[in-house]
Amino acid sequence: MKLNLPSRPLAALRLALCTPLRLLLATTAALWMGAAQAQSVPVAPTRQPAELRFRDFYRMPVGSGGLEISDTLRRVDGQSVRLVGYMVLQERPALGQFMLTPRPVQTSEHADGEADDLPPATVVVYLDPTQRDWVVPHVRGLVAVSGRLSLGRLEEPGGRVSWVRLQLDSEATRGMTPFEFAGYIHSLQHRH
Amino acid sequence: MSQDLQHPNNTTTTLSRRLAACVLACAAAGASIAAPTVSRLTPPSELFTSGQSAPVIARFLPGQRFDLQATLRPEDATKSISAARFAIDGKAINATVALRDCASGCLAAVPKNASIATVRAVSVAKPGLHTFSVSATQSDGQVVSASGNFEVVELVAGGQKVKNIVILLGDGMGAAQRTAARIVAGGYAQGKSIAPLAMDTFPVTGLVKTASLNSIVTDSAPGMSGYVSGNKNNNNEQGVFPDDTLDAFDNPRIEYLSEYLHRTQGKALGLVTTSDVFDATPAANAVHTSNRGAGTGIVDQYLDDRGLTGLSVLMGGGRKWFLPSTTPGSARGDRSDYAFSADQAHTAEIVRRWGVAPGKLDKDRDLLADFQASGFRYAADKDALDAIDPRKTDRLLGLFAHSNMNVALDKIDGRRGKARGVTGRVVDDYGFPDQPMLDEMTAKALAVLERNRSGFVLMVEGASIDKQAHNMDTERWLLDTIEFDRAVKVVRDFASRRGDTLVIITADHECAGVALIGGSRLSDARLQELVREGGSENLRDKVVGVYEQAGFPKYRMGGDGYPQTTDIDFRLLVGYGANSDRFEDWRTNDRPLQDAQQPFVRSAPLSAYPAGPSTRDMLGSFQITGQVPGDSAVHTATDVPLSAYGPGAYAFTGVLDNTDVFFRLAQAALKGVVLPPGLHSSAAAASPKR
Repeated sequence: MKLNLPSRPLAALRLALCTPLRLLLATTAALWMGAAQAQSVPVAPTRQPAELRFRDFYRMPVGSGGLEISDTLRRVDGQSVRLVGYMVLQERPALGQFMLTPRPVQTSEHADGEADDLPPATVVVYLDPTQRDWVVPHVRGLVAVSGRLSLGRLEEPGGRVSWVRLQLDSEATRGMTPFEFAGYIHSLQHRH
Repeated sequence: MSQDLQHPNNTTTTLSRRLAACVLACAAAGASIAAPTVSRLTPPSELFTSGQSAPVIARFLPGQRFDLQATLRPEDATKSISAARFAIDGKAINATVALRDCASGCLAAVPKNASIATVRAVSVAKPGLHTFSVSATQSDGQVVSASGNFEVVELVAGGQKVKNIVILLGDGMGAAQRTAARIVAGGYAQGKSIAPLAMDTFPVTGLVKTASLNSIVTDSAPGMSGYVSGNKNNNNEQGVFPDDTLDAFDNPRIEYLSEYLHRTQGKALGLVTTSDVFDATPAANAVHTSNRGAGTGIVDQYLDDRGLTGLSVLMGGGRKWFLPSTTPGSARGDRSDYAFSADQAHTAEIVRRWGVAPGKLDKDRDLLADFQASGFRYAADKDALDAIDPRKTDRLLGLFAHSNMNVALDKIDGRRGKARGVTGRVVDDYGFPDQPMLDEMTAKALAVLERNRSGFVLMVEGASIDKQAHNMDTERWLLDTIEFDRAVKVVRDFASRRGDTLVIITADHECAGVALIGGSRLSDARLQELVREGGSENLRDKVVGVYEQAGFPKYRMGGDGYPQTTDIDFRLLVGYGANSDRFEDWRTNDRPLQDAQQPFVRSAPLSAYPAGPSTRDMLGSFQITGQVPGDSAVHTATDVPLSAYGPGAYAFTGVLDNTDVFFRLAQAALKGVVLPPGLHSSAAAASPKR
């Protein structure tokens, strides 16, 4: 399934991915590649990642101040984890990353910016560094992602501050084209 | 010269001067006829932009403060601007003209040797149309000038002076959102509304034109600041005119209603919202910035410049901006903050002339502690809010969520113990299970503000009417409109009791092109069957009842004032005219959200779980193609209704520009209530007997 796309999409492709065509492309690619992925399962990391749950991130309820990071979350800082959640549907997605939340959330950046409905337990998921210019097509429903978790304050390139990040396993996506990646993301979705 | 072509009046008014300058300067230099230009002149005017003297764009109250600014471009890269001065009605302004070059920090299209000349915080007392001008000297002696105009609106002696002003702002709330809330909350019988909304009981209603300075379609920042500054702002900008620098906090400022009334009358300011408190609508009452997203600087300015605004009550979500960056969850960062240079007159003059704080890049600031150290009582949840004794409270800060507060539907489900997720209530998933409703916040705000002997300005926002309309989540914006109307009732009762409070309800803009297209022809049980069968032949042709098929949907209200359920038989159906592609099954998006922590159920129809409009409701496979790109519905340019109550209400009838509202509010507070033109004889001249 070689599509001979450049490893970094051209600006025109990126633009196309930002338009309604994005959904069409993503959906088409996802459906198409979803079948392919059934036969071409990404190589799993040799070490079984720890299962992590959003509800275990912070002390809940939050209380009167800031968030309180749980021991569970601290223990997996720097470790390989598996996390199941929803990809945030962003009006203006950042390149090379997406956000994962315990609930389905949509963000309308144009009108609302960071006055958003993101739960405190939101994770920024990074693609492989070679894919940092990609727009990640949105995938509906729950997805399970695996990668190395990092904890602590970081200002993302767009200025948003993240506290929990997950670097996708590079083995899982290395060498993929954007369309192949769309298929891969779809493959992470729980079957239904 | 291209700039001259864009600004013909600039050419006509300055050509003679330029020619005169050129006769001297060009002859001496033997140079070409190129000349320096004025590419931007602020306040904005048609006189400068098109050469037409009308319409007048910028208007101010007598004595209302604003900045003058001009962007001056030398004729080529070897020249520079050596001096500039401003004049109003031909009289030079006796104040420091700050000159800032564009070697760095300006828009890309602006030459590096351009100069931005600014005079901060000027005002004009005399009513009428005024001409202002800038005159700049290039390093070779050439002089360029340009003119614009603005109006100072005359206030006339009126009747009762209102003590308090309340602005109830349903964000994105057009006429359709109001009607929908009335149908659901009050019901209809044989064509008659059974129980009107509180906002229906306001005696005066007008229509508001909502365009911003740079678009027929506004966003919330200029949408709000139009009401409380009297001037058009660009989209994304609040309390400022646009400029050519990248600095989000150095723009030419316009004094807000809160600042003007605090300075002249000592009134306090209260801001209550269901969104993150840094969001555009609340911030566009007190914070001056060209970047509505600059959260750290915005929340800092709330506190640091409260001496100008009289900010005494601030409630909503957005705790993430108040936590030092060392605290988990903090969103504070230097890139969304500001610090004015004391060395550059361009910014130092803001501090000196406006009397504001210089700001500081202080992401580690504990703003929550600083608010409390400044005398603010702090409430973190409803229990704490209830415990606030307003008789002993002058200042109140309520931060009830990390970002936006949860919407009314989810808060009410929380109070009813209704779990919409496998793990429990939505409010639990967010970690804030005890959030107050908007009417509860409003009641407390009024009780605190009422203590101020000089009166107050209070802005109450129903924020997620808009945010959920963006999502095309019908039931969620609907319940937020009902929640907002309950706050309206609290304010109306307060105003009724006091008799000295002017209340307006309006919106900054409409959102999503909401239309009430009819009612379902089916029971909810049958609708669910059709959802499973799917397709437009089922979900459109068999469901949508138009005209008399719609009948009168009947929702039963719970004792808490909200519908017992929104999934009734023969339900109200809503369409969207400004929609993105989406799937629709008409039912409330309340299916148990598959929780990530639960063992995966492979047979579950996960595709039906909401992730966004284009992916939500896919079970029914009734796709509606949208007219707008992306995944969100958008704001529209449609006029919005405004209703008014209390002394001065009659000034708000007719078709108004959003900036008109500012002057009518100010008239009522400063010189007393008057009737608008057309409702009184000229001889009676605006002195109603009430």
